[in-house]
Formats: sequence, C-alpha cells, structure tokens
Amino acid sequence: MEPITDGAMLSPWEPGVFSLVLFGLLVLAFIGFQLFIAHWVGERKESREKSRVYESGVIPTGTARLQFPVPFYMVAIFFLLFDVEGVFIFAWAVVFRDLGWTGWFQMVFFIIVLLVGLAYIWVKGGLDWRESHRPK
Amino acid sequence: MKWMLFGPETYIFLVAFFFLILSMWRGPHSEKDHVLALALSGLGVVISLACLGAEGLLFAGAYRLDLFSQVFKVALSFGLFLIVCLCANVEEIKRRYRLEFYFFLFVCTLAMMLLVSAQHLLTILLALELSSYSLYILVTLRRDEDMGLEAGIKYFLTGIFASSIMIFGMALLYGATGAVYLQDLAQVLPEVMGTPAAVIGLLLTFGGFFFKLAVYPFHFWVADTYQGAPDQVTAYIATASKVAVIAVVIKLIAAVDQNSTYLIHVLAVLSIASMTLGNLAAMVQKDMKRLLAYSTIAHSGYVLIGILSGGTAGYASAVFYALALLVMKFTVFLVVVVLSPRGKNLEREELAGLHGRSPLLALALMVSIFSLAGIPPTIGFMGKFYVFMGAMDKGLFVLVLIAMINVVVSLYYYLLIIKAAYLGHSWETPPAVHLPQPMRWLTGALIATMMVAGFYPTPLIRLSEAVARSLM
Repeated sequence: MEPITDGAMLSPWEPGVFSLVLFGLLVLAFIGFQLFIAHWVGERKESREKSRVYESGVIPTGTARLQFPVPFYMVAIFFLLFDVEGVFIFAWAVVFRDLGWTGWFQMVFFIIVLLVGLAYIWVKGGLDWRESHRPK
Repeated sequence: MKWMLFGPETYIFLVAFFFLILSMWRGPHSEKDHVLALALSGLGVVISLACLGAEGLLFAGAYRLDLFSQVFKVALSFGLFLIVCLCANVEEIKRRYRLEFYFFLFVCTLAMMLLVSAQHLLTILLALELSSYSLYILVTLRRDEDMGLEAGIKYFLTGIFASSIMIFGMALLYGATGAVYLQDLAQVLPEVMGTPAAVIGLLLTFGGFFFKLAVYPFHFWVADTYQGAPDQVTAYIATASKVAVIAVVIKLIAAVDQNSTYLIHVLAVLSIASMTLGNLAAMVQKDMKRLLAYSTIAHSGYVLIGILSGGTAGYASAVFYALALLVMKFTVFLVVVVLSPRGKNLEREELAGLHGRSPLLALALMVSIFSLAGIPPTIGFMGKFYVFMGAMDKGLFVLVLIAMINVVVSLYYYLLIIKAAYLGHSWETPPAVHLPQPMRWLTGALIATMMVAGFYPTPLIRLSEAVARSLM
C-alpha cells in the first residue's frame, strides 16, 4: 500500500476513512437491493418437503434435542489439552540441537506437568466411560 | 545463582503442586488441610520477604525483578496468607474439591506474582490468563451449585471476551510499534502515538486489565460474581487479585505514558464513570457482597486518579492505595465471612445487633468501613488524601472535585452498614459470635494496622515512593 500523503487541513488518514465509508455504503446498498429483488420477484410456496430439516438428503427421524452423554464432552476437552502438548513438542524438535540440554530439561518439565494432569484425570475417574465410581 | 531470584514463585509453584498431588493421594480433611495451607502460605510470606532485595532480569529479559515487583509479591503472598486464615470453615466449598480449592488459590497467587514481574506482552497475557482461569474455577466451587455456576459462567463469558479484546489490542500495538518488551514500547511509542493503530491498540490492551480491575465499561461481572462466589473466593478477588492488577496497570501506564494526553483523558473519563456508577449502585444493595462489589468499582475509580496523575507522586499514591485496599477490604470480608449464615449470603440487615454479639467484630467493621469511606484517622483516609494531593499537584482540580463529591455520596451507604451494626435491633436475638483466639489476634492486628497507618503513614509512604521510583 502506498502511504497517503499528508494534507494541509485534513488529518493524515481521513481520505482513507472516506473511501471506506463510501465502500461500506455501496456494499449495504447492494445487499439491500438484492434482498429487495428477491423479496419482490421471488415466489413463496410452503410445502412439507421444503420446511423439512436438511440433513444432507437423509430423511430426519425423531427430535434433535438429544442428551449426549457427558463423557463425549470430557474426551473432547482432554483431547484438546493433550493435543497442545504435541504442538510444543514439534516446535521443540525443530530446534532440538540449538537449545541443547536447557531445552531438554524445560521440555521434560513441561511433559511432567502434563503427566501429573493425566494422573489427576485418571485418579478422579475422568477416563471411565461410565461413572462407575464417585470420585473422592 | 540466578535461580534464587525466582524464589517466591518457585516456592508457591511447589506448594500448589503439592496440593495437587495431595488431592490425588487422599480425600480432603478440612482441619488438617487448613493448618497445612496456613503454615505453607506463612512460609511463603517469609520467602517473599527474604527475596525483597532481588534485582535483575530473567528469561531473556521477559521477567524483571526490582523493588516494585518484589514489594507487590510480598503483598500478594501476604494477601494469600490472610485469605487462608479465613478458610478454617470452608463449609461453602464443595467437599470433594477442598484440596483443589487450595491448589487453585496458590496457582492464582503464582500467576499474579508472574504478572507483576512480567515485561513481555505475551508473558503478561499468559500470567493474566492463568490467574483468570484459576479464579473462574474457584468461583464455581460453591456448594450451592446454582449460585456458583451462574457466577462462574458470567465471570467466564465476560472474562474471555475481555481477554480476546486485549489480545487484539496487543496485536495492533505490536503491528504499530514492532515492540513486545515494555521497555522497547516506552521508546517506540511516543513516535507513533498519533496513529490510530497505536491509540486503539493501547486502549484495547488496557481493556483486558480494566476488566480485571472492574473499571466502568467492563464492570458487569463484578456484582454477580461477588454474590455467587464462595465468601473466601470473593475476598480473594477483592483483595489480592485487585492488588496485582493495580500493580500491572501502574507498570503498563508508566511504560507507555510519555506525556500523552490521549491516555490521560480516557483514564479520567473511565475513573469518573466508575466511581459515580459504583457509588450510586451501591446505595440500593441489600446483599453485603453485592454492596462491596459496587464499592470495589468505585475504589477502582479512585485508584485510576492516582495512576493517571503520573510521575513518582502519582504512582506512589496508587501503590499506597493498593496496599491500603488490601488491608481494609480484607477486614470487611473477615467480618462477612465470620457472620455469613450457612449456605446464604450476608444481608446488610442481618448485621443488626452485631455490637452486642461481638464487640470486636463490630469495631473491626466500623474501622474498616470508615477506612473505605476515607474518614480520618484511618489508612483509607491517608490513601485518598495522598491520591487527591497527587492529582491536585498536576492541576486536575475538576477530577478531584468530582471524586470528593463521590466520597460524600459513598458515605451514605457506608454509614448505613455501621448504623445496622451499632444501632440496629433484630427481632430475635441471634447467639453471640464465637471467634477462635487466633482470629481475635488477627482482627486486633488488622484494626491496629489501619489505625496506626492512619496516624503515622510515613514509613508506608516512603516505601510507596521507593517502589514508584524503581519503576521510572
């Protein structure tokens, strides 16, 4: 982008704001025009097929308000937590030689912290698919 | 040995780790755990005091130790110790999470210690997030699940919103200046201060901290969170967490504020809005914790006056005010925690007859409320006096005038509390309050601190000035 030259009376970025506002107005006008045309010209016929929920062509059955078991959610969260571990380890692996032992110790510390987290989940029963025992 | 500089943080980390392991090892045992936490947090205060003189840079300059950070670390570990003193009776915390409760308290303190020393924008962000996430969880630990969860979710949703705004602001700031270290920002920023990216970036960055400090446009979470959280956690948010955030705001403003009028104007507007809104909303509150929440918003406004006055005097007054807030807010919460009926929050009317039930608690309540209201001779009066003096020296007369009007307005609801405690009569006479002997000493010590610092604040003022100078 080329720099906007300093006007004598206008503050430096005012021309940029003007074009932005103009652009915004044009976009809004265009969208409004499209909506109006679609509303005015378009035909509306309600039918059973049309109001059915779209499920990629499969005819839906039953209600959508299911209760999912909580463990699905827990597994997703645990996955996210330990997935981040991988991100750090990959980055470390790239510069493994440059960082030397310092980096190695820091990574070991990081992994130990995560392992303690894993142990915590395990002990407290977060990994049991069914709630077989109430955690302490 | 450079690692000795990192002493308080390492210690608090190890203690937190210990409680995590302990929570896997055995179930909670309220009394034993409390004594353990009390001893460990007391040792934490000693260690932070021992590291008071530490100076230097750690982690490639991202972490700076000076008098400023070390004094605040002592204040934070002391705040933690005081809060743990209140945890003798943690009926309000869900039983199975009582060890994790201590774990999160220590982790949160660790994060705040990191926060006051951090010099790199990302380190500041990480420390702030770590303390926020610990608090989100702490808030939800209330036994009454509806209250705790509601408070926690409100806190969490507004909190992540403020964090994302702050991250966006930091990105803009980095884009405008190319600097991530505070000392670099201080050098580069004056040149680009006129550009929209730098101004908007700064404002959005401060948004995240103003959220934690409960300043006006970011104050929505305060009342509901204070109300729904367990009493001890509310006390922690109101004391230690506020001290840490005031510290980091002072540090940031000192770094970026190179005589820029933009920031001063914004801060002045936010300060006026916060104290006016806080004081007016506090008037109609019946729930003590909600009332204190709105009074917190008002106090954030007063602190901002000190910060925006700038210079050694301004920052010193803000530091003084932060330390004063720690003591006086804690004393009010001590009374609230002791008197709270089981499973419910303390109402203002329930203070009726407190004078007869426990004269010591009534006295503590009166001194701390007078201190919050700014009536001499208390530490709170000296704090306000010092802040307003700093602002007058800078010629901010209108701001001080508005603040003074606010102080008078706030007297109304503060005096209502004292009226309830001393003059109110309750229909049925509640039993006398049993206060264990150590708690009596603690209460007495707090009253004495507030009064002595009100009569003879010179050492504390000297300390605040030295702290502020180490920042410049």
